[in-house]
Amino acid sequence: MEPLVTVGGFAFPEPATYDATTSTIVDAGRNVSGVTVGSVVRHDVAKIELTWRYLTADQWAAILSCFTETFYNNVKFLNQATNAYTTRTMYVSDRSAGMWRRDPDSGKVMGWTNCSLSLVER
Amino acid sequence: MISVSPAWQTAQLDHLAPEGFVEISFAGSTFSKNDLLSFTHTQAGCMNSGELPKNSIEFTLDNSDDRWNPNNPDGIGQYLSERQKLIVRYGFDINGTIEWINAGTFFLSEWRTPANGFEATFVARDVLEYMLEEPYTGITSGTLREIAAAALEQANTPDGVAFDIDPRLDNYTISFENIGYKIAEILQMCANAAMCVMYQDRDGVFRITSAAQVFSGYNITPNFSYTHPEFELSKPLKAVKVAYGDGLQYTMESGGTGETQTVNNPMIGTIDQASSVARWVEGTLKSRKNLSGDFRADPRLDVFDKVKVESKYGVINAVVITEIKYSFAGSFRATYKGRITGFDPVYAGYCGELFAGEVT
Repeated sequence: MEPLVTVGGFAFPEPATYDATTSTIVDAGRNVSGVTVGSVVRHDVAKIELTWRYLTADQWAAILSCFTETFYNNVKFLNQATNAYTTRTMYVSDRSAGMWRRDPDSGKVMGWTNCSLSLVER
Repeated sequence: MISVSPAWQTAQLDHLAPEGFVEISFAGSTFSKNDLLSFTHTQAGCMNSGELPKNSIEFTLDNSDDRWNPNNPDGIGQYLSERQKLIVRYGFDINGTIEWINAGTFFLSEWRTPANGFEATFVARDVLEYMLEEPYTGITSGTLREIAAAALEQANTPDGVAFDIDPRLDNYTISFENIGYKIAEILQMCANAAMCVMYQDRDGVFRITSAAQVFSGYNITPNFSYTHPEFELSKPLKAVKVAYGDGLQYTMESGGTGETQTVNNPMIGTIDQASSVARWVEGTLKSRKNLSGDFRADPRLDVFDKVKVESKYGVINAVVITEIKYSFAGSFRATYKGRITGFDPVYAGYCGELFAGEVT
């Protein structure tokens, strides 16, 4: 099965939720009658929000490592606007997760819950 | 005003205008809206050639990779030079295809690439860039057209810059003392003495031509205005005094009170010419109403275009644009200044000072 999201060639694990936003950027203002007038600045700017209920510590670290060196990445994702896979240059939001538990013997983190990040088209 | 397709005009009437584009070609590259961080284009002109016109652009490009730093051996900043030619065009996405119009031809006048900044700023202006500083050394007698041609020839403008001088400059022959006038000043004085305006059009042609105006078809409506037009009333005109010949002066009384406009132009040689210039100047200043505003721009409006402006109290049918400033931050907005030409549609415009003119 095609992964929903691939960043720089690394296929992300299947997320628990996948929310897609497609924006039209508009430079808008109110005319002298108070009616909005505007101009399209850019069409179909994509944003995807991903969450995972649980990821192992290694999985989450592998995902985060995609963004350690590069802020902008080539992201292949399912584009809701075309219902097809598209590759766009995107940047990443804050990445957050809650620690699940540590191994009582080794002290290693065993996993993370409610992991989330967003990718926004450049 | 530059012509566009009917589809372009229709699209501009929508409350949501289509996506706009700016493209700048120079230094061997073409820069699009993806490269631009900011862009402004300003045109200003005086309908009686009392001030030099200006058609200029200023824009910033991403310099986060230091490519514009002149000290970067691998950058392209080292290839920048003054008076480098820039071609600019504007476009709109019309039904899936970008329709382009010329925005103008400019010449690089300055650039700033701060070593600690992420932006490179460029300023370019019209062909007058070549004429502002250099003293005129050409003929000092002949027709105004011959003198203007000599000035343009001396300017040594780059290949591809064309000039168009109105034949009416042939009507006036003058002999004058050159006291170190700059080339641009010579052209300005020739234009004024022949009752012409001068400007560089979007095709890069520098024109000295009649100020006769026809309605451009452009309508600035409240639908696309972010503010109501602001009106400003200048002081009434009392008289126009035009110096001519060897220390002579022609005076045209215009009203009982107000300001006297003085024109000191060595290219005016006879009383007939002086009286014509006086009438022309009176025409430009008789109408006292100026207005300004800002609106969502359709960037085909130029200085000296005659437009309609809809105000709270009705349509003003004859406004000559004396300044228009476009800004592009992904879309076009504009501010404008204009002169209402209710007095005589042929004579339009505004100028506060003519050459060394004194307002008393």
